[in-house]
Amino acid sequence: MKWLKDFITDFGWPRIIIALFLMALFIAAPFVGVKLGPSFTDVFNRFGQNAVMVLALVPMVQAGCGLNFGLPVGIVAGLLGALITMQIGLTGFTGFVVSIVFTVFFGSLFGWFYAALLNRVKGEEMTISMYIGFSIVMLFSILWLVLPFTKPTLVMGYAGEGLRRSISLENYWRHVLNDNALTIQIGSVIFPTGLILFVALCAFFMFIFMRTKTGTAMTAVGSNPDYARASGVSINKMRTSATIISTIFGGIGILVYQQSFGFVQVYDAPLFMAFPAISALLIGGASVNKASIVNVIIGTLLFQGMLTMTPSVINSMLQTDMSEVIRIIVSNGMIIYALTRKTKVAK
Amino acid sequence: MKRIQGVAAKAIVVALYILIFMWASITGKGYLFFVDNKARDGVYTFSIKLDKATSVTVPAGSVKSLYVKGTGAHHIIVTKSGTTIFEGTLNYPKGTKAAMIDGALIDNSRKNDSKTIVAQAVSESLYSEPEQQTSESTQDTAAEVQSANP
Amino acid sequence: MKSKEMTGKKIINFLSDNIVTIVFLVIAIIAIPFSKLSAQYIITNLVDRFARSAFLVFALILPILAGMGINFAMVLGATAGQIGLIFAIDHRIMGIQGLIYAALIGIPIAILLGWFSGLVLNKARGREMVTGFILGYFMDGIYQFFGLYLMGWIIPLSTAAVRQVRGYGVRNTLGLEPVRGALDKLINIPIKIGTFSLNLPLGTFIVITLLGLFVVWFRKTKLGQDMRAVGQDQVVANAAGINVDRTRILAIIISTILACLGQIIFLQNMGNMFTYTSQRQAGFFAAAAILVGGASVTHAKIINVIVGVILVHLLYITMPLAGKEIFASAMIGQYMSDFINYGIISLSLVLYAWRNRRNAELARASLRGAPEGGK
Repeated sequence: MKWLKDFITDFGWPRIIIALFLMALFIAAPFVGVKLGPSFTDVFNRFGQNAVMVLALVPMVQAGCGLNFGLPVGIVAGLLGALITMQIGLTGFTGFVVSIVFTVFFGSLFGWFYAALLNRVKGEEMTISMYIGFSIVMLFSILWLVLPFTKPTLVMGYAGEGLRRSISLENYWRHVLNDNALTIQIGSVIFPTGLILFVALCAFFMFIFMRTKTGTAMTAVGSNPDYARASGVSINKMRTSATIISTIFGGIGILVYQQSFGFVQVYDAPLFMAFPAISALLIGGASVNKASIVNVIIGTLLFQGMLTMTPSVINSMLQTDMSEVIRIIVSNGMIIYALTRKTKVAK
Repeated sequence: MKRIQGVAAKAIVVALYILIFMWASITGKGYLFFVDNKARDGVYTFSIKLDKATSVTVPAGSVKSLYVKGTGAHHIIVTKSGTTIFEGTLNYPKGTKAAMIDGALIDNSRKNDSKTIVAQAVSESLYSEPEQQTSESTQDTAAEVQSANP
Repeated sequence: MKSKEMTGKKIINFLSDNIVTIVFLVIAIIAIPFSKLSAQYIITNLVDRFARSAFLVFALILPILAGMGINFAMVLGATAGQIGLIFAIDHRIMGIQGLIYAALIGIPIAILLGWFSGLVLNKARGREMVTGFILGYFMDGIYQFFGLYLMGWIIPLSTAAVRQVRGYGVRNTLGLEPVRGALDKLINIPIKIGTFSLNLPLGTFIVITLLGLFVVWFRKTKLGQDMRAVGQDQVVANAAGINVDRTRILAIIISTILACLGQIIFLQNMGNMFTYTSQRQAGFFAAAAILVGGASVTHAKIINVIVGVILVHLLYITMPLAGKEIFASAMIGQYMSDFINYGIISLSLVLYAWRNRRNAELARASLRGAPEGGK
């Protein structure tokens, strides 16, 4: 019995409840007339669509910067990358790759400034990063109106001033990862191999990075700053690289999201995008100062699985759309749970 | 002794709370009040101002549903395109859930030089589709409400 | 000579302490002429808006005093106020009685929610602000469950204008005609000087003044002193025999009750309510206002509330029009005022954390001894 108790405290009640809930949804699905095949397809797609953004949170948690509520800093870098590539007129896989290149550039730039700021406010990162995220989204809302984009597919109507609210990627790189030669279909389940491979590639890169000298030093800074300082690691430098990596991955994350979603959404759309990513990471078992790639994968699967299954199953059961309410309570409840947990790491 | 005092203080607070609550719900109770401008010769649009409320315009051929605070006498001003055509007291009958006045009642009081209009007690569902002040079109779904919450 | 230096230093200190307020003031002063609004328009609007939202901002003072930062969880109190108003409208209680009715229903709910958020925030020591923020979103979910599903199903709704067309749940927008302006118009004093006219909602101002006096009085009570002690140092306060957890919870409960009343006052002025989103604006606005007014995460006075409310509303009034004038786009003005709003909160949080950090580092350096001394 003791091992069960240990397992539960280790794994955490909320995670177990969510996992059981998701299982119950899958079991109930056929009985209320929800087809499992398309549901699995949806879960895979949404997993791939969101996983990179969740992955982006890992380095900052490890480096002791807490949950990166300022993910929108990376997201606007990604938007900028995508839009410039579209303005140039590159399409298909080339377009996607070029937009990643632009994103890495802007992400490093923004990330550097963002890191410089966060290094000066140690201890208050989370509240501040949240407001930095809000601010930058609003700042870029102004820029989307004034930057000299001219492509008719990008700008608003006849006036030609300012970007459209959501810009279709149909003639650019929509589904370039989801829908290609690698896609496998088994029965009614479509497995987006390309998308999952790309996510795996990103995860692998992150995995390698966290095991390089920089990566381990980063973890040391997060888990024991005094020890790290004593062994000659520059705390600020490590935090800076963690923040830059996080910002770049946030940008790539939104590119992956967009190509699957089919639209580039600008203006205030990215305002709250950090929250679902953070919930997913925490559901996966991460805490405010410890996160791993396994947490990312489990968390994104559970969270996106829940988001996919609740609307269809609950709606056909209760004839009413309660999924939104469930989503809000679960995702924010999860963040509160993580924030109120006693952390073992000494300050 | 101190403990008794504490209990007494709490009891007083609770009693006061209930009293104020009762007072507010009794004196502040709003009663349904229809202004019918449908059936009438030579209809014209008029506005009605009750007590301190902002005046409500009742277009020709329509019915407005309002609330009045409490039964009994209310101050009423009826205006037609800016000029006051009647000012006096509106008597809201007791013991009814809804009452109504129409153009004929107003005109009667004007003709008789009376300063009061007595509203007629009617059933709440007299006008099956009373025009609500709030927008009818807001059929809302949870998803719509939700879009802003992360 | 020496005194001149002293005043010079004083001025510099004053500037650096109030940099956020000054930046905001400069932006507002630039925006006013560009908006091309008349003084009459700006002042009447400002008086109206001040009466509308000052009460809400007062809700943030006590938690700051108790060292818990900006109480973003005040959104829970605003929610309680809205629940009270829903019942007042549904039960057709009109006028000032309707507001009292709403407050009497809202207060017990606010106490319950405040106690809950106090418990949560006590478990999240050191990250109260971000936790309070998320707590507001969490509460949104519960509130929606309550408003969209329980109301009209388990809890009866008798008025058709409150109910959604599908038969249960409260509408997204609720007209508050029966209680609109009930407090503002209670004692209304029209002021006229030449061509300048103004309707002074004295009733609301009296309530705000009473609240201000309450805050002043409360700081001097035993509980107020305890809060201050807890805010300065929890360990010392605990050693002095103060129940730290309880004091912090009380600070949040009072804040939540004030937010509940503040939201009722706010909404009676607006005259309609976005049932599921109005409460969130309350939190954003109040945080921005108190910080713009010169409060920090650890210090807040009544003057900060007054200055902050005036300045933020000045920006709201002028910025969209000024944006239209300067950039030929009202959209830019709108985004600009949002950006300034968020930006100013970031700035003041950053400046505060920065200063704290520097002081801590200086303290550590002095402990280690002069850096040149070693090696």
